[in-house]
Amino acid sequence: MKNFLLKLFLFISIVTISILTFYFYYEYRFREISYKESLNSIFIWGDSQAKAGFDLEKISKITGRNVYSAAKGGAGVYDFLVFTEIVPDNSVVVLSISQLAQLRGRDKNTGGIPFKSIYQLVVNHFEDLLPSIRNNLQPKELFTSSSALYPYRDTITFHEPISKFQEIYFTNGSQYQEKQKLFTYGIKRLIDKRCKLVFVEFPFHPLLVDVIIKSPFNVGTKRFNKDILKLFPKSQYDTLNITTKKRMMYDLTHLNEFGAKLITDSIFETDSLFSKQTVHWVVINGGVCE
Amino acid sequence: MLFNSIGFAIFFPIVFLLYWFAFNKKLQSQNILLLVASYFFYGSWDYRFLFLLVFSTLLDYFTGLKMYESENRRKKLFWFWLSVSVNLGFLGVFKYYNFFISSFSDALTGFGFQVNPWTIKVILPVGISFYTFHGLSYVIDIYYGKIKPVKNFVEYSVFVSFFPLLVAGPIERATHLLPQIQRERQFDYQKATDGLKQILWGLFKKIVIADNCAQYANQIFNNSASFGGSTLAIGAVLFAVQIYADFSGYSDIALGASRLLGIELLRNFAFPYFSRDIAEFWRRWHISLSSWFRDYLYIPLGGSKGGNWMKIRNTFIIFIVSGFWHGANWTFIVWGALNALYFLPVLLLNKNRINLEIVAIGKFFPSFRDIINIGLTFILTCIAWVFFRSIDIHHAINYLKGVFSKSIFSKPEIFPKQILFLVLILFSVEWIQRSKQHALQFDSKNLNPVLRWGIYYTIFFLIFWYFGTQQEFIYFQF
Repeated sequence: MKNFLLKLFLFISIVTISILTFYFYYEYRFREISYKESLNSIFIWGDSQAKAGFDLEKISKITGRNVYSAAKGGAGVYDFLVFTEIVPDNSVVVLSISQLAQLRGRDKNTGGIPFKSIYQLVVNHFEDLLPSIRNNLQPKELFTSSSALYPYRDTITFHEPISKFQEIYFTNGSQYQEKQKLFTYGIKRLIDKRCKLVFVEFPFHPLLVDVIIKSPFNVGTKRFNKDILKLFPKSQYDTLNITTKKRMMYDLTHLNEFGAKLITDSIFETDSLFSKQTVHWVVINGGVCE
Repeated sequence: MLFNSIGFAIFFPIVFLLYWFAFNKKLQSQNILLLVASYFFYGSWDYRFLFLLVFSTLLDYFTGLKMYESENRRKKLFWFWLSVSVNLGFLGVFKYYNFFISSFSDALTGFGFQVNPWTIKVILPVGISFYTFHGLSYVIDIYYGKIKPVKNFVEYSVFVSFFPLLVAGPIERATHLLPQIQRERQFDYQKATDGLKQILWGLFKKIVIADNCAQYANQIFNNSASFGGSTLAIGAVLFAVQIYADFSGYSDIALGASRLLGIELLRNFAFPYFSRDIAEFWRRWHISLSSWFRDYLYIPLGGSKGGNWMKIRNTFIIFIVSGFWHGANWTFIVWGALNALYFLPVLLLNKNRINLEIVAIGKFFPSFRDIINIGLTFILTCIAWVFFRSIDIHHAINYLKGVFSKSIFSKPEIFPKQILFLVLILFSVEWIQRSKQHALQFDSKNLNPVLRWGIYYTIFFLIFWYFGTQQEFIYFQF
């Protein structure tokens, strides 16, 4: 029995040490952005709206900076905390914390397992902690520099039925305040890192806007936006009024390639966007998004 | 509590340590520990159904004793039928009631009568088909005088509810398991390490193979109308692999965990996809259920004695009942009937026992004839699995129509290379180890220790790598 337990203990110890070594190596070798790289870079975080809404190559071309996007479909607060830990000090950061990211019941949360972020989630009693850790046992690259845009179509595609959004906007919001607390913690972490922040609010299809307006959580999520701006000494609310006859939306929540390029141009061509003094909150007027 | 969960990874070592260190002085205390652990294990699913398990245990325990004590045949028969009818009654209510009511109502509607069937919203208690069959085998064996009833209630309760086999088998026999529960158990180093290896292989099959195959198989089966024949064929193969890896993986974990506690369970799988005909397949697939039906249904019905009609009748009965055991759906019944159709020619031509030996014994590669036979048997089982997996008969027929269409020659829309590579590893290792009880039963003298330990570490790492969202075992629903 002694021999059996000893061998078992050795086997488990070796396995545990090997796995931990692998994860540390992976985290620091492949996911950390070096200080040099970060000096002239823009870091983007958001969910699928941001993934479909920014033309990364175009941003790089307009601004002359490297672009690293951590925007992913179903990204949640766990991913956001991972992102805020990895982004280097003094970086330029573009964030899109959508209403859906605040209200969604289950996020995909595939941003890796940095221990500092997990600690924050434990302290804040984050409900989805265990599933989030399980989702991240297979390490994945956090950043990408190439866009994955939806093609332009003359008609809108209904990938998700409107009822699914109704469910999110009317019944799912039980933990949104808890999520907002963690998002706020992450933003403060970026402020501590002296990052220059730009917030972007992507448009929704008018069909969904009707649902959003009637949602009992609409006021709470809008108030959250205002609360974020209060964290900064100087802020500016920019509204982009885009006029075009062409269809900008691919489905109810995502821009198509045409919309993404147009919005990328409009946001990043503004010279004052990255001025050190002011934080910008960019809202895209939804009137042209049918 | 799933075998592939963190909960079980905490629960089992605690039971193991208590079993061998704290409760090892007395057999009775060891058995009490097993019983408490088993009820805790079962209660972690749904404590409300514990009463059903306890009731079923009490019923069979007392009817067993009463039958043995009965002085005349009438009394004996009374207790026997009381146990059988109550056991099957529970199974009928919880598993088949809604099916019978809705099928009856559909039939009446077909004749022009309008009825509103009174269905009940009932949750199927986990493992009910398995522990009911344990109890039935015990009662039937006592009735036929094969065994004497157990007087010690704890021992009998452990036999029914021993946690490694409680929710998805193997379906044990009183003649095999009870004597092991009744005698003192000593820790055996060789058996314990072998048990651990079997658990490791079971987890590999479940987490790495079955759960990954499930993702694609589900995607293809759930959207079968939008895929071409080649993708549908891949879906059927992936489901065949999924159900094998899922269920045999579960059985491996159950056997391994039990062996660590010094108890040997019946083997449930013997590399069934290397079978050369359908009779061999059924000797190697879900062995404990097949042999249960053989001993308690097929043989009492006359077996393969008598004329051809008798053989045909009995074969259909056993396969259809086996299908129905899996679930209250016509798809399972057709699955059973289809297997009966596959089996009959082999039986009627007296070729059902020609492939008793392991395929290509003593050789590394099979003969060309073996390859063809294995391939054909696999294709036939895949076709039957389509019925097993489909939502209804209509879905299954359309699926098969899709497979056997011109688009079978088109480029598949889904071709998961990584998963197929892992499946190749699974079957390669199992092929090499096909003469053993499980795939990691290496002969330590013939295999370099570095290579052996390298294999264990690699498998462990793969399990960790793919340990994502937990998926339930398919057979829990039965």
